[in-house]
Amino acid sequence: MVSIIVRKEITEMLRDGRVPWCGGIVLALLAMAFLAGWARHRELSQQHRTAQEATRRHWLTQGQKNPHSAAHYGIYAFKPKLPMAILDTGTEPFTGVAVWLEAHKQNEFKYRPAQDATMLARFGELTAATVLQLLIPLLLVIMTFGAFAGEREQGTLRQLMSVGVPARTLALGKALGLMAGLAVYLVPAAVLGAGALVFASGAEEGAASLPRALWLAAAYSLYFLTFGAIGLAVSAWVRSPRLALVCLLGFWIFNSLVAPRAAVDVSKKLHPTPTSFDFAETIAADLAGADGHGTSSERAKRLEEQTLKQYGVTKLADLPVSFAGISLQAGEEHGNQVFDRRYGELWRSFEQQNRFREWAGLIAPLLAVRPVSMAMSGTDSAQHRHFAVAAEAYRRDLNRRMNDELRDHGKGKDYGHLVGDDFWKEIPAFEYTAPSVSWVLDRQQLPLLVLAMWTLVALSACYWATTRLRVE
Amino acid sequence: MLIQILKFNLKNLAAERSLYVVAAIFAALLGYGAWNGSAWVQHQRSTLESIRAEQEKRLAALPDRMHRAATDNLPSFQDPRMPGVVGGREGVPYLTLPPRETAALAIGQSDLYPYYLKASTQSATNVLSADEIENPDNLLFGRFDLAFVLVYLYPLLILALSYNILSAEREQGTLALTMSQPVRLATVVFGKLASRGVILVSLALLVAMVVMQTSGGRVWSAEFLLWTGVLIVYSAFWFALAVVVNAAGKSSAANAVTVCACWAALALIVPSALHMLAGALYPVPSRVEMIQTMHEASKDAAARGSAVLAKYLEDHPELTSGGAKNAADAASKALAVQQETERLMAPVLARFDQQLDGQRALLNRLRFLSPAILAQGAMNDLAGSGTERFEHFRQQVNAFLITWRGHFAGFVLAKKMLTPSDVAALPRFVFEDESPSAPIGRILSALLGILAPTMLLSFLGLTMVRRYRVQG
Repeated sequence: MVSIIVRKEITEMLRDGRVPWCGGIVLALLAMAFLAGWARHRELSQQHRTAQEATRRHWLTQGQKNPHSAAHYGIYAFKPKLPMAILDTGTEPFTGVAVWLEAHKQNEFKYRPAQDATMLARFGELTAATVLQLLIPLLLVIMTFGAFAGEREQGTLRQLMSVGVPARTLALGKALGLMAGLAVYLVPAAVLGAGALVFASGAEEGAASLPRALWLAAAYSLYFLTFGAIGLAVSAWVRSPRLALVCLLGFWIFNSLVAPRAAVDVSKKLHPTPTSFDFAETIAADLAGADGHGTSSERAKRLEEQTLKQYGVTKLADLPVSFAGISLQAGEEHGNQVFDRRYGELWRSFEQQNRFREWAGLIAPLLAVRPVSMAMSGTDSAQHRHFAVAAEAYRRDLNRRMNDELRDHGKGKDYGHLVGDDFWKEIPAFEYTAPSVSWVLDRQQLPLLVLAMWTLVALSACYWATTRLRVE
Repeated sequence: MLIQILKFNLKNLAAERSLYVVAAIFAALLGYGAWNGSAWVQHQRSTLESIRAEQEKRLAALPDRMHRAATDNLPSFQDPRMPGVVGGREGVPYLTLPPRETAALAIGQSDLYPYYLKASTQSATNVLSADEIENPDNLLFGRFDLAFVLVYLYPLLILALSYNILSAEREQGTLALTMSQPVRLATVVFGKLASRGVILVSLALLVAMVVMQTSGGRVWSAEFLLWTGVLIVYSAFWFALAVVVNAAGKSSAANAVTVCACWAALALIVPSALHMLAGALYPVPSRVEMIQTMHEASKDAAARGSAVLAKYLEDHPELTSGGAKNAADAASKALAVQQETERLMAPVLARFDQQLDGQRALLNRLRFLSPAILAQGAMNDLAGSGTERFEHFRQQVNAFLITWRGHFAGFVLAKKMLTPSDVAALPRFVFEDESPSAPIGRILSALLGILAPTMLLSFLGLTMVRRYRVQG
């Protein structure tokens, strides 16, 4: 019985014309998105590799220099792109992918790629994620709204009921038919996506992305299941297909358009971020002593006394080491404390905003699937932060090595102390490993839970509505 | 007759719940969008105000600090009389881009581009890369402003009220009844649409007027008149689309699917596909590459330091009054190196601008493919939050920075320190807004760009309505 219903559903979908057309367009867009993502990935990874090598080469061949000048000369750190970024570019257009590491300063967010684009960037990127998050639910709405309401309007529902088809069997058949219909588009899309992944990164790295890809697939499956179940439930519950469509489209609009932006504005109200003017002023004030560590001249005096005591001498000139190195390192360490505190606060406010949006996923499932999608693609802001922290640690280590060299071997010459290529070679290159899946997963518990909850509620609603099917 | 239909329709709509629901939703969305836009402008204004206060305080205190520095014996990088210190930190003005009176109508690109920059003797690239702090997720999701409501959501509401103007009456059988009266179908359709349009447009206008009044803008201005024009033509486009879809004679549910697909194509798919196309045809070299070149250029210039300085002084004989011994001065050398770096960088930056110009030119031609892009662009332009106004600002910033650097180059090369009386003579930056006619040209072309397909659709719709069969 079920198989007959499934077959009837599929035949009807094919005959209707709407579904094959819309589905075909969606599939074509997905293919385009994969192709574009793959091309972009190849180009950007190539660029980053070259740049990473060049920045290292510059460092190694900078010639005779004072270590502190070298610290000012600086290094660029590049965030490696995961092949999964093909699917979802996430926040990358707004974070950039490189961090400039220099003496005295922590730098973040420079050169957002979206600034080097037209206003169209704000309409969104045509990525697989856009298609999966916005267009497939729309397709599901179109596929489901008439499922029961249409038959009710045509009077065929009464016939079906009168010949004794159990409502549960009918619902099961329709659900399976829907899944089969969707699979026609999603299976080739998944194959295409996997192909793009492997092509972009080689089989080995592609295979390493497998756990991320599976979690991504799981999250989207829950998302589609939710939309499909809601569609069937509404179609079974309301009287006319017209009303079912209006309700479902209303939900789609709320979920994809209204809720995400409204959540952004509310989260900004609840957890405000400082302006860069205020932020810079606060850091400057902290560095000048507002953080309770005294003004720079007080700190310098304290450091001088401490150092003299430590080495058991009475004049700086009698020190066996270069005081310039010690003083620079003390300055760095004071700066690091300030940066840790202020950047910590800043990132906490971002995280609170993001967390608020994840909770808002309770009223719009897009807000739950989107963070998971970005996280598994390695393009969410948490992973940008992970990279920025690693780069910052490298910067601090680099500066410490420069200052130590100055302290230990710069006696009497201070800023006149020069070192050469042999010393540059001792400094390791910046290496960055993207966080593991479990690290990422750990941060996605809330959205995944919200998504699972949506699915559960939607399936229950579907069961409830279809078992209480009204003929009129 | 038309008046009667209009009256009857307003009565009819008043009796129907759907209008109340749609109007209430629209009013709520408009109100929220307007409030957000106003809050953002308020925030920008108060930030600019505190910036102005800080700048004034700093500059007012500078002459005094210079007096004291004469006896304080500070290290040269802290001495407030040194040209490098004044031009790089103590005397720098903020370069500000104040929001226009109409800014609350569209946040546009104003959250992505900086609206204040701190001048510096460093390169313009460096100054311009100082962005406002913002959670990258928020930039990705976008803001909920009036333009978002009108460009994205408003068409959906129009379509919700008009996707079944003919199909529903035919399905209920009332159309034949109406047509038995001496009235043309086209008049009936127009009456129905006009009654809906008047309500929606007046709601939007009312909210926009309130926004203008509260944010200090003038309602009776050419700008606001144009804004109203864009709103009316944009509404007319979607109504005309609904007529064509209705006149095709399909069922209400089929119509709903069709109008939704049209909306998704024009508001979501075309813009993001164009974004992809622009990026593919005119790839902007990544900033990574630019930074790399900058690094190499400055390294190259530094290596040839003395030669570069000699060449520089040859080009600027007016600066050599201090005598040849200045040539050895580190500050002069640094200045010359910087100039040389900028010279070497110029072609790289030019290539950047060239590609970006290519993207913009492409967008300028292809934006006519989607009324949503045209409407968003026009609203950004009117609010002064579009790319062009920022570009205008950027050019003025570049010009000012050349003046600023030149001002201090004189002191550096003459090996002179600044005196308190020099503070008043520091160059000032005042943003000169675009001439009012500059955006108006762009907006008028957008207006015509929406009007043309609207006329075409109206004509098509009228022809189809004439052939419409009242009984299905």
